[in-house]
Amino acid sequence: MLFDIQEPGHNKHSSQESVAIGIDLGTTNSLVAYSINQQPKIIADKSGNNILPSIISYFSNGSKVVGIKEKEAVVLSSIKRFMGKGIDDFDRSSLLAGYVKTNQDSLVFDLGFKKVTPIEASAEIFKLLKQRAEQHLQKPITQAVVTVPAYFDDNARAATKYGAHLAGLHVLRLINEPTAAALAYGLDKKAEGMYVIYDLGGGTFDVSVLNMQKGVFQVLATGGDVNLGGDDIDYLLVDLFKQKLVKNPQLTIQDLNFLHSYARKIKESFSNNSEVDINFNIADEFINFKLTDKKFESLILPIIERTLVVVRNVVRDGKIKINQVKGVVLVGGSTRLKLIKTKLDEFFQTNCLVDINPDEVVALGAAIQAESLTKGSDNLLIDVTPLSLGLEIMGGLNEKIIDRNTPIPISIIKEFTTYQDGQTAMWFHIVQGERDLAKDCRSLARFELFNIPAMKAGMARVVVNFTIDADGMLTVSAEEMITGTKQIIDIKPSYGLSADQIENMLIDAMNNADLDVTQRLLIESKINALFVINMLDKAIKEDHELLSNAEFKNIKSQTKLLQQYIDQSDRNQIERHLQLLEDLIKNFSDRKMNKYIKLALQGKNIKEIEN
Amino acid sequence: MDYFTRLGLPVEYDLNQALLEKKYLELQKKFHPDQHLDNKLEAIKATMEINAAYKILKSDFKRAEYILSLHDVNLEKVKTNHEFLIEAMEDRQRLESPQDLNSLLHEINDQIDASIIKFKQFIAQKDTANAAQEVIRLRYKNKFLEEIEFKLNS
Repeated sequence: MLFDIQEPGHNKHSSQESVAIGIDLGTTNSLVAYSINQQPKIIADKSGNNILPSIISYFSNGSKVVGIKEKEAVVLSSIKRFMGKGIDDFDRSSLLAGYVKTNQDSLVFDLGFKKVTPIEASAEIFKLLKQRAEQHLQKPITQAVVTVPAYFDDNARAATKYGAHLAGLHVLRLINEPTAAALAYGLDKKAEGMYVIYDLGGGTFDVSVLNMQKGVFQVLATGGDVNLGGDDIDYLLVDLFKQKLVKNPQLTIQDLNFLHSYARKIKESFSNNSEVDINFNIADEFINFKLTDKKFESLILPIIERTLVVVRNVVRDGKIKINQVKGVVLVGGSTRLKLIKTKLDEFFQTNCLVDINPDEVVALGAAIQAESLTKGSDNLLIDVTPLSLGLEIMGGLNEKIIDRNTPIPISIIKEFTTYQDGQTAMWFHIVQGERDLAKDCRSLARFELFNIPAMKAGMARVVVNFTIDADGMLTVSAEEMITGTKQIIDIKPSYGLSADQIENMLIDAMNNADLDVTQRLLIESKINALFVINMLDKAIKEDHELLSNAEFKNIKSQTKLLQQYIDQSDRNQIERHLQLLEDLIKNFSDRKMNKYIKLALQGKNIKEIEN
Repeated sequence: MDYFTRLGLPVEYDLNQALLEKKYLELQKKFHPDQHLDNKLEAIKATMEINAAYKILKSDFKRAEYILSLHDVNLEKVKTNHEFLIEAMEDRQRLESPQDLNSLLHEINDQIDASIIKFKQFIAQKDTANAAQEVIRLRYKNKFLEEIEFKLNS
């Protein structure tokens, strides 16, 4: 395809002097780079290391060291897996398992002498990279482009941004890791045509299909898995080690750390060796460990197969044919595994490209974009949103408002109306994901629009605006149009808190992590419970015939009890009684679902159903 | 401004995909906020509109929906006809027999093509009521197609 591109217009920025850096905050390793005249460079530390291990050692006296596992310290690693997540998302055994605080139901690392949130931990890494750049460039640095996995959801993106913010960096743009890699590749290697970026990081996996033409980098489709990465191979090896232990001893976190280091070394050694044979002592036991590359490959095959399923889906979403793909760019240290190359060569019938160091290519791309956003450039990056954005509608269905792979920034407007005479409030539940049921998607925010003037059902006009900005982050606002008294609610999806509130929360968190989390959780529980009560109320009014008298009575008394605990701000009781209520209404919900799915299949839409 | 005009395309269902891509990229180069570091808000507004237009026009069935909305038809108020409901139910039953999925996929694709031809005819005759029925059909068949593909891939 040939493109007739017009010369871009005015394109230079006034702040010629400032340098913005590109940061790749990785699960295993982080890097910082800068770019001058589209020539990006990694900034190394004083000893010449380009890579900073994403590790923080905390000492009980309050000091900390980034990038090194200190013996006497508590070591946090792989924190990227925890960015923007709640305790419910945390279901894997990992090194940090011992530190994740569970009695609070929230994600705080409890180091014994100190509590640290994932955001604060990431800020330590950002700080060090910022310092590294300042020393190298001999000037203060305040702006950065930060990369995130393409498949990161809104919460994880927000968490990353706040981490950089706490380190004193203004984030010019969050860009998707595979897109950054494509940018570096396209400019350096003058790649043109359809390319697939296969990015297997330490803890995340992304695939993007791009069309690269004359300085335009257009992402056609993207997909991935935020719970799949090179670390998973380490976990498999650690499991094998554990099977070797005959006395079944209780392993300390230090022991596990040690086993993981070995696992990583063994994994890496298969790039050059066909067999591994090592001896080591752990927990007073002697272990001899042997593994051939054949055995190793059969061990990791399921993980590679999982990535190939994602590849297939993304190629299909991009609506391109396999033979149109000119090259596959490998990103992430884990792509050094021979099996990955073999499988991808087989799949695409084309060679994998590894001309740029797969550990560095993302940071280099981020640096190029940082330069473009401060100095201007003729290159254009068009990215897409990886996950569909939807609204919960009747019957718990997810009505998609913005489909995945829609180019960003984008804004879509939908109109809603009241379903009852005199109704003065409306509830909204915003979710991110592809599944048909809202409960199977990531819940981003619930909010209520109050003060709708009382009028006949169907008369109110509520316009809801869904916006995804260039960082891939979402804002939703709702406005009542009829009366002229405009009411606008802007929400940032983090438990319905505004940017200012989050800011304050973060500052509080620095001072008192525990209390802050308790309060946030209480707010969240209350909102969840009120939401369910409200939905239920509405549902019963509409479909009371689906309930028996006994069921109705039980539900009523349980609702009353729950409301009491909401008023008393007793979070444990709220959670417990919300669960009881949800159990009570399960059958009712199922019956209701069946009814509405039938209607939906008949091509009816929400408005007809609600009215 | 309607989406076709926004992208510099004639207001009609038939679409030159290559021209759409070309116009889209031209406009992106012109308006993308990254190209206008000093006047970002205006650029973001324009780009959001261009992206929305591109996304809608690129899809065969969303384009049909959109053309219908340009004819002042509120799809939300259109009643679905009875024969189609029965057809949809029969479609769904076939989803249950896995050996049939590939041929079902082809059949549905053919039905979609036929429906598009009818849609264009109805629009040309300014018969918006029948055009609306075809759009409802297209909407449903596209969703159904996704379901078949999902089943085939899993």
